Amino acid sequence: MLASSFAAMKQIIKGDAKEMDRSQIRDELLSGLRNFVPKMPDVSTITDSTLLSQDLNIDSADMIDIVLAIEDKFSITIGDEQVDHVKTFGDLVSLVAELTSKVTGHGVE
Amino acid sequence: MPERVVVTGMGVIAPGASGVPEFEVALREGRSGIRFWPEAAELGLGCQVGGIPAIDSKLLDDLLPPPRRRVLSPIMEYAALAAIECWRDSGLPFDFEPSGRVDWDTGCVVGTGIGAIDILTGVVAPLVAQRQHRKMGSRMVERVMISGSSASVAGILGLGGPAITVSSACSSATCAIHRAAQTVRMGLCKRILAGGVEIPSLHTAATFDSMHVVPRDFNQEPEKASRPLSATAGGFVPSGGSGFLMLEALESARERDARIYAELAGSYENSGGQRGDGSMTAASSEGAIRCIRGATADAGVPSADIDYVNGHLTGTTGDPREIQHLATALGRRLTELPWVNATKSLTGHALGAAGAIESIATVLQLNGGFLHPSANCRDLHPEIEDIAGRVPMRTVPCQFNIALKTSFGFGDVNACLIFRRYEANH
Repeated sequence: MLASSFAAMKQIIKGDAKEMDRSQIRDELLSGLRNFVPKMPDVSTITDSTLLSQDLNIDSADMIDIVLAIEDKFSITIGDEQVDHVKTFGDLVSLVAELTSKVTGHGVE
Repeated sequence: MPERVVVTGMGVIAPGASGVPEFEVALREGRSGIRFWPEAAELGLGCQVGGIPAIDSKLLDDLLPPPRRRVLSPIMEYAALAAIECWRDSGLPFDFEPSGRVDWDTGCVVGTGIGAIDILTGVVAPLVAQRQHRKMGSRMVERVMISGSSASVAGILGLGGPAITVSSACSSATCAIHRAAQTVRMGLCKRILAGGVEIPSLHTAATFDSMHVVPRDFNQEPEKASRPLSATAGGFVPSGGSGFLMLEALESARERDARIYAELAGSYENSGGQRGDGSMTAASSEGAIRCIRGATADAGVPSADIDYVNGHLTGTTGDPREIQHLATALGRRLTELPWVNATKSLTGHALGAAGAIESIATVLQLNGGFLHPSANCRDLHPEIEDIAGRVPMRTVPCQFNIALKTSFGFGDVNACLIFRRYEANH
């Protein structure tokens, strides 16, 4: 842990910290969702207001697996209560953005 | 009036042969699917050979959309590949469509002896012990439930008939075929994909290794390790795979002008009760004999008319007893037995899937007019030397009409099937 904290700190100091921007997260999530959504609509039609359950037919069991896959992909941990507040695709992007920025932030504390 | 039951499609994933055409070639060539098993050697198992069928991952990627493909465990992959082949082989169009219609006329009955042992030991147990059970996600139950394979097949094909898994150790798939045949015969379902699946597992292999029922003297010559009927047989070679036969009511097959491979003319299952010379691990003589006679009686076939027997024959000390039971049941001397061969001499013992793979071998031989060699038994066991003329040592062209498939599983549980060349006016 200590070693990785130092590595992160060095990156920040050098000014090349790679905080993922929202569009990168969006692209990663859309590509990952293909593995979970049986009838994936054209990605151009998916907006921040797309409802995960009604529009993409993602049920609560799917959501459990999607969360695990996101945790692996972004090296973050998502709490159950945080998942409860995710209704739209935009909510999901925001949550991942928030948690990934915290990972970077924690690295320099 | 009971329905006649015919075989209108087949699909198989066997050691060294994926798909029915390749399997038939392997049988005709007497080609063994047994290979050295490096992982078994690393673990220090006495038997370091096995029959490990390949999984065509690319084909599954092409057949199934990612959300359905992603959730398949290895046992489901074996089952899916064989079931989809069987479905298509029977002339039904396959196009996975989750919102498509349910086929209320078709079911599946799947035999499995052991199940998802590697997932229980390799994933569930460690994650729970590490307080990481959360990481199993939502799809672990279906991977470890005994009926995972039948549930998976039913979901992929959209089956609306009975979709169940049955288990009776090494007779599982044969019992599954028997149960499916009964259902179709009674007119309760038009078509049933019947068969079995078993994953080749080091954990399963180890349990048999500790019983001293697997061969240890042929690790350097894997293709010689599976030696049913031989004086130098040292046990059965662990393997796995999957096989399905589409059992269909004759009327339904005729209506849709389906190709008919053969008729499943009769079947029977019983248990020896683990009394007399029967035990948890040995078939009772009376039980085995009754089962064979039950099948011939069910088919209405005189024992004198049986042309060929695809034996259970594993390569253990049970083989000479099995041959004696066969002779008693059919009322014939050893020299007068029907042709007998052991498909396990080429595939190893696929446990819960064995009866399905071997039933497919039986139908392919019946349909193709040949008998595959019973490998590695030129040195016949001295108690049954008299069957020398009845065991094909090389591939033999042979037109025959009636075949008996036998399976005798741990638990003293037996199942026998009678396949007959299809004739419209039988």
